[in-house]
Amino acid sequence: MPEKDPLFLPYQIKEKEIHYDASLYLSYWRSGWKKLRANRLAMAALFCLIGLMLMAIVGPMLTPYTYYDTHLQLKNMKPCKMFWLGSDELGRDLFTRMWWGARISLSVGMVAAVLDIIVGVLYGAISGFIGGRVDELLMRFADILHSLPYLLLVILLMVILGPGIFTMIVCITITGWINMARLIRGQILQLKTTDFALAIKALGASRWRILLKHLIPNTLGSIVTMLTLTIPTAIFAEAFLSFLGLGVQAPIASLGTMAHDGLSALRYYPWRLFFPAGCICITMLCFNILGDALRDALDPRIHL
Amino acid sequence: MTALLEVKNLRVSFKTNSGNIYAVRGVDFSLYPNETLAIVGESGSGKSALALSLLRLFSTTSVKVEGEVLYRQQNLLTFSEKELGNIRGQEIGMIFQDPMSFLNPTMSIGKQIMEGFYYRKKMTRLAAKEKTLELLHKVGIPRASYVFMQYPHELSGGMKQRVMLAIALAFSPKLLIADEPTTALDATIQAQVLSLLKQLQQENGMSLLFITHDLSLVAGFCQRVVVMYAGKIVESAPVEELFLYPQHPYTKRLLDARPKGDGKLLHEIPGMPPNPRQPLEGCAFLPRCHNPLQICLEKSPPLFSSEEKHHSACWHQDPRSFV
Amino acid sequence: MLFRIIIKKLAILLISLFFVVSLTFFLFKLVPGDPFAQEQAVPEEILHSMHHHYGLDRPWYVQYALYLKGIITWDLGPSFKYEGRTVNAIIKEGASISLVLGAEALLIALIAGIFLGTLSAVKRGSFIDRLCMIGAVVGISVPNFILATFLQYIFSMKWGLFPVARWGSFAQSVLPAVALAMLPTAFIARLLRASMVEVLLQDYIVTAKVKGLSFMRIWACHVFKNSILTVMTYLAPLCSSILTGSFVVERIFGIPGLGSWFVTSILNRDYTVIMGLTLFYSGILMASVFLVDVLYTILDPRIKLSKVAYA
Repeated sequence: MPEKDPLFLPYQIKEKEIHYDASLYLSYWRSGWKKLRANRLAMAALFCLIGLMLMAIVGPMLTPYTYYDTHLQLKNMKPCKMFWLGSDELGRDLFTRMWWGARISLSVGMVAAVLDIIVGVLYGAISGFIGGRVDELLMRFADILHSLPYLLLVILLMVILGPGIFTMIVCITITGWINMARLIRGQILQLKTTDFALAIKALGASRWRILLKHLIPNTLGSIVTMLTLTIPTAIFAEAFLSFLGLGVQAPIASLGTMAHDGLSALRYYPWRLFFPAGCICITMLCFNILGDALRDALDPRIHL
Repeated sequence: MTALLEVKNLRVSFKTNSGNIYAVRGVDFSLYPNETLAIVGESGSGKSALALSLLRLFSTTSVKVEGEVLYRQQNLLTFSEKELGNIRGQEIGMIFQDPMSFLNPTMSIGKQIMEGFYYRKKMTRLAAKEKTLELLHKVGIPRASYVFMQYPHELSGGMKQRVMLAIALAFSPKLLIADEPTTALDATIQAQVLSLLKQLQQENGMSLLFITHDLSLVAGFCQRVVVMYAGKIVESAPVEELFLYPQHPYTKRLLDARPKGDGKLLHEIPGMPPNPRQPLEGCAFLPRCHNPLQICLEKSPPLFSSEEKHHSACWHQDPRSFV
Repeated sequence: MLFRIIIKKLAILLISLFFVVSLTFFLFKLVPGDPFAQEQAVPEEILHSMHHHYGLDRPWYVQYALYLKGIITWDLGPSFKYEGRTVNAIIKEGASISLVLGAEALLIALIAGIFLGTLSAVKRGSFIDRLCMIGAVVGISVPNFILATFLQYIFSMKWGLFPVARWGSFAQSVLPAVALAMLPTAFIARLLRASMVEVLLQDYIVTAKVKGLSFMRIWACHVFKNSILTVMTYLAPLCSSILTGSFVVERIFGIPGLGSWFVTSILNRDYTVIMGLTLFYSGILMASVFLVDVLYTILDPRIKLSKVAYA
């Protein structure tokens, strides 16, 4: 019998060859972060924001002036060695005031946004989870509220409650939660129908537990994205109100009130408007870019 | 007889954030006029990617198609979009698996079929409408003038699939590609649509490329069968040859796995298909084969011919493995 | 079926209006302090007679009834701060100006937005696309009042291309309209692009390709028709945004429209005017939401023909 080619002898399959290689698959958050890192524009925006926040904290400490120190002989000066960004009509240093204002604007923006998110998530989650008549009623109410212009409502509430930081935060929060509520409600409604929700229910979890520990965490991606995008809306609302004269009272400055003050001096001292205005724009731009990038990175549909 | 369609060394790969996906790894086959060829494979075998690549219908730009697709001796892969546009619909038609998502939900049925007549043949509205009604009648849709005005979501699955057939056959193409046309339908409707396909194929003198995962549909419907696994062709034969004398282990297992109605347990094929993200070394079926050889680990088998027209890609067909 | 849906929506509209009207009334009743005693100390008798003159000394439910009656008969009362002027007159005067400005801004936003959005979607991935989308992000990040002052400063004060302020000629309307239209344009462009890209991934586009239709035809008929519906859902917030934008823009450009009046009345605490304008605005916005809703229902055959009455 001729010798068989050794290549054609039988081969013993080893166990491990039958399995998949799973190392290519990353978790949701890890792949999201990886995608975000790859987006250079978003990273630039992130660093810019961190820089802005650092300046807001440290800025006022860099000069020997406070935000309310007046130097009446030195009013309306251009940016110079003494006043790095110039001075306003009462001789106050614009550099200090601007970063102080940034503190106020950013704080108001972030606090209002966080409160919005909390209210929105709870409202939307409960509405979506309970479903039925209650859901319809709650959403009807939100719809009516939503059909009115957001800023109109905020202005009205400010008129009624009076000016001040606290009332401003309350007013912005009262009207800004609706988008978040709708988004979360939609997601909860969808998650409710999934098999995993059914499985947990079958295992005997209480309704609160299902909602808090299982459903809402699955919407965290949307929550983070929406948070990043609500902050510029809140900052805009604060600036808008202040620009109309309904914001914080003097001598406290926010970026919006500084823009308001700068408007009257536009013709001759344009920098008094453009520095704080520029600060507002850059902040909002960075948050928007970051928010967009987050939305793309955390989108569960194009998850690879 | 010259082949209507000849595919040579077709490779399709997708580029993603986490690496490449090799959907089709080198496929050769021919289709002759007036012939029905079935391509059988499980999900992930690359058959849908193959179908889409023939007319370059991908909706993403990160796909690479290499090789040759010769339609009447012309390589379609070198055609520009405009030239391809002349082939699509006129010479080669296609119907898909899920008719709901493949019909425009905001356009009436009549409009969707008429579009082709009106815009490509420059017919008058009236003439186009007449032709459309004729087509609807031909695919067996009752009350054609009523259905003409309806929207896709108002029709049942079987009706929608017939509409898709009407769209595909509007210009009497010479080749029809059917990508799992009956998978989404109920069994009774399935039979109706299949017989309609057969009838239309004979009436129009078309070639039919029938893609499916269900071997049992193939018998009595097609003349030749090609079996795909992991992006490659593993066996190709005339239909009776395949069913009676399968050569490739995968084909044998597939035939074994069909429910025979004798009350015994189903035979399944252990293991899973290989990961399409990794380039292959050796035979793709190796981890699931019950009788592998040493060479299967190292080299991927080419297609060996046994009888005329019966090829299979298995080292057991190599004369050197015979004792 | 269509008729029933419209009636149902109309009913919801009326209920919402009623709700807003009542809410406005009660909110203003809650404002602390006296509308007349703001600036200087006013003697008691004068306060009393003013209260009596404006009907503020009647019990709240009577005031509420009178208020509702006033609304139905379209009599919104006199202005507290400007003797002899009624709210109606103020609204009539300001509305003709603001509506023109608003319409101009709306047109600019729709035309520019749709054009840019389509351009980006067609050329997606290219340099033009990236440029447009970055421009869009900038567009939604620059507050309209900052843009307005910037435009005024550069194009009016420095370069003198357009008049600085006031209203009357076409040239005077250009800068304010552009300032108002910037945010909506950016929004529409982004929305349309996203919607079109999503439609392009749909399976029925593959069918259209298989039919051998030309590029233009596929875009115009299949892609555009399906993605424009998404933009329509933005129409109501669009009006809303132009409306609130008018508050600041009219101020900056010295335009005597409703926006200016609203801001002035707020700063003056002129309550009847504030209330009247709020009602007017709400009415307009809710009507536009209703119209867009009905339009959407008509255009989307899935809703029109469904057996379930969507609301």
